[in-house]
Amino acid sequence: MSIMELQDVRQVFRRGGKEVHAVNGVSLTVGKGETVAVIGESGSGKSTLGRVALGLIKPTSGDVVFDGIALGSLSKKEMRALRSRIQVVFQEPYESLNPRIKVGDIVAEPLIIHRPEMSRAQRRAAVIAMLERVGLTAEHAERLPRNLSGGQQQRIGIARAIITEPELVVLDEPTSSLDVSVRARVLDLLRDLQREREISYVFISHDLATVGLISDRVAVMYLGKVVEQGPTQEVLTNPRHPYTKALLSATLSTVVGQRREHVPLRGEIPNPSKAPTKCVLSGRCPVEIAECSTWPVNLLPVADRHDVACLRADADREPAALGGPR
Amino acid sequence: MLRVTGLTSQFRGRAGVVRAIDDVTFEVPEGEAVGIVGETGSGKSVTIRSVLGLLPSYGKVVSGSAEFEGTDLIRLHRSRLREIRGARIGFVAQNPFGSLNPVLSIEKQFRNVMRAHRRISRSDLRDLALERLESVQVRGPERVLRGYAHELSGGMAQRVVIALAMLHDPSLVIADEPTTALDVTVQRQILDLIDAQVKQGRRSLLLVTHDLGVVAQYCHRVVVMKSGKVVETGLVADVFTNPSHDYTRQLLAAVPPAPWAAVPSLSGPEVHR
Ligand SMILES: Nc1ncnc2c1ncn2[C@@H]1O[C@H](COP(=O)(O)OP(=O)(O)OP(=O)(O)O)[C@@H](O)[C@H]1O
Ligand SMILES: Nc1ncnc2c1ncn2[C@@H]1O[C@H](COP(=O)(O)OP(=O)(O)OP(=O)(O)O)[C@@H](O)[C@H]1O
Ligand SMILES: [Mg+2]
Ligand SMILES: [Mg+2]
Repeated sequence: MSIMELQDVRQVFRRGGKEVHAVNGVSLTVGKGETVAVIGESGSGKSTLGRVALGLIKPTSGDVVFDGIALGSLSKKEMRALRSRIQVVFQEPYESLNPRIKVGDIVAEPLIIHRPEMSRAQRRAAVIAMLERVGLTAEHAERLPRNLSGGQQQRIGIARAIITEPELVVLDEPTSSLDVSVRARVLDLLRDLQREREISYVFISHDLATVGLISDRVAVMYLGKVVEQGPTQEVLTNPRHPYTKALLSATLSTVVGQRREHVPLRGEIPNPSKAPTKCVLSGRCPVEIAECSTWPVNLLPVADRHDVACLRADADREPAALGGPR
Repeated sequence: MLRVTGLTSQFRGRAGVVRAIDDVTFEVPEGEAVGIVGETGSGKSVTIRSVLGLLPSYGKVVSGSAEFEGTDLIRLHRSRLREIRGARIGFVAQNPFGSLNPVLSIEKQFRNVMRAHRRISRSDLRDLALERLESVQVRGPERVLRGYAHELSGGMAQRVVIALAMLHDPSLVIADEPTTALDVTVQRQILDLIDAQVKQGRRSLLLVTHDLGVVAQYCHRVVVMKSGKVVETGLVADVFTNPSHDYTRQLLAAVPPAPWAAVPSLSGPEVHR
């Protein structure tokens, strides 16, 4: 059963005469109780896709379906009612917290809107319990956001998002400011909630190790398109798209002196001012052939539930085609 | 280059005075990169803000010193400190959007940072800004200069802030989690760029990060903080291979495994480079 379905979503931002093609036809399904990670280049449209999924921006084209309901068909009022079921943790913790409101009230806010039947005392107890679950204390409830460290602010964002027990949470870089041990704790909390209540997560992150721990499936974005998607372990250990390979090879070992061989992509990241007319990696790709620049390359299956948008996805599996022994 | 000694800072609040950092001591030698790691809330950002004179009005350095090129920054007059910050010390704050003004174009913000220290013509400034943006892999820098902060992705905003910090070619760069918002390929390019400058002896770097891989690969020394105190400091090669403090051991043990570390030949069959 899927809780969220994005169907061929496109998002074009316009300003003056200029266009930015931020998302170029992305389809993505999130199952009930599933965690789908979105990774990829910075500026590739991950946050934009997240905002579309939340109904915060209406896509230029394409549909967003939540629990069988097309968001595009909803009135403002119906959309507001749906809000308690879909929550978000924004990429910038501080920017997304009202600087003039005490942390305790920030976390309580969704309860006031979506659980009006709760008494003040019940709300307070729920807030403290939530703060403790993310590793903070009642004392933090009395502070203003700016009097917290970056990682503490980030956990306030998470507490606020999950306190109403939503069905889907979009988490945009939710653990980037946390040290590894607090991060592990927050990931445990997210997993516990998922087990208890079948919550689904869209987990946007640059941290591949965290993605490896938390997600069931992963979608890799480059220049507004998904270039590879599949079960997380499969994609991380058996990457087939050259961009995914470059991404994985760029991660840094924590062992001093152990440098992984890094495959840098050639040249510059292209400008998203036009919709792509060829493979998005064309011009930067280490295994490019002439056909790659004739038209956009779409996702095709390479294995069970594993799709790759690359004409050379099988190249390293066909030694014959490369002039090897016949 | 930078010598921090016995630095202690506190905040005044409703609950009374809270000591955020206590007796913090470490050194950034010339031409070296030093990483600060530690628990969230352990005082990494407060340490940096204390050194740079950027604590809020209800915060205060109560003792200690921070000597930069022979001058104690803590005792320096605010206006002199502002001259040094930005010109000789570049600062990249933890929250990139917080250091950009939402109502000014990016170009205007480059102009303001430039004006604070030096007068140059508009077209020279433009060229310099474009060059700095290109050096941190910003695509379409002209478009970025004309635009506003809210049009940038998190990673692009971060790169704009790094480019602003580099504008005056500072001899010391202090950066609070500069690369967490970036994908690892871009992170690597930017770190390689700074690393090359450090290796040429042109720059020193003080870097706060939660990414122990960044410390292992790019830093000479590491400072480990917990609850406002430095619990361990030394050469990365020593501390990471032979940690002496329990917390450091815990931190290193908590690093999740990289399942792809053993992926054979990531480069594919034909690599032209
Ligand atoms: N403006 C402030 N007012 C009051 N307390 C503060 C303020 N800024 C930070 N603190 C407190 O001081 C302590 C140290 O915070 P700091 O921001 O230096 O942590 P950090 O090590 O940078 O953590 P993170 O990794 O989460 O960014 C924390 O307990 C924090 O709550
Ligand atoms: N409101 C807007 N107006 C104009 N362009 C925008 C707007 N929001 C985003 N963009 C552009 O859309 C593209 C995708 O941005 P998005 O924030 O979705 O990237 P991202 O994948 O989340 O990147 P990051 O990893 O750096 O956060 C970028 O080129 C960005 O500059
Ligand atoms: Mg983003
Ligand atoms: Mg900090």
